[in-house]
Amino acid sequence: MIEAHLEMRPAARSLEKALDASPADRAALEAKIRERPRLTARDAALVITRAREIAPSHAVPHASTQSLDRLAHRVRRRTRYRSAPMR
Amino acid sequence: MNAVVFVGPSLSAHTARELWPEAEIAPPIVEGDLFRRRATTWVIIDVGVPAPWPEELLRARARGETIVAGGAAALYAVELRAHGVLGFGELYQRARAGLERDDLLTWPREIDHADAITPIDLDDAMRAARGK
Repeated sequence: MIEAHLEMRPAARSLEKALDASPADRAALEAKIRERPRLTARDAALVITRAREIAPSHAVPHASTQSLDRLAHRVRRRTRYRSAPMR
Repeated sequence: MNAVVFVGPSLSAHTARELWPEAEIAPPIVEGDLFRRRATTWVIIDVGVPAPWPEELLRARARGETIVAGGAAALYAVELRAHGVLGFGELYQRARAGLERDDLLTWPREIDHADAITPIDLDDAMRAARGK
């Protein structure tokens, strides 16, 4: 499992270096990882719960189309596809 | 008021439906989803390929729609926070503090099975294993 990530993700390679796990420790580590409740699952549940709480009362101001166009242009330049890394 | 929750690998549709029975549970958001339908509240947690452009979220905001982003989509909330996109959750907080990168937050395209673990989950587990 870990090896698959290491091959694909530079960040995961840096994690391996930081952890400095020997191959012999991998099985125990993987077992720990599998046992641990996943951060993404915990976070997803929290986000849905909070969104449900605020949704009925959250007032949203409307932006004008013109200001939005300017805004979108700035965002496009600034973000440089950061939110679309899988593209 | 109708809400659409885009969630995929992070949480099962069944669990998401239990958390918010009135919401429509949709698969991970892809480019154009915010144009193809209408909702008063969008909740973006998982993102597919091709991912939506930030501009699509801004257009939805201009229509007066509420957008909540978190989980694997936390970076949207960080980038568009000034424009009213709301962020919740630990990943949002960490992304806002600059601790997380794109390649940690996104699901690898190569992995699509239920047993997969995201890079951020791996990172989280390793931090825990190191006692940090």
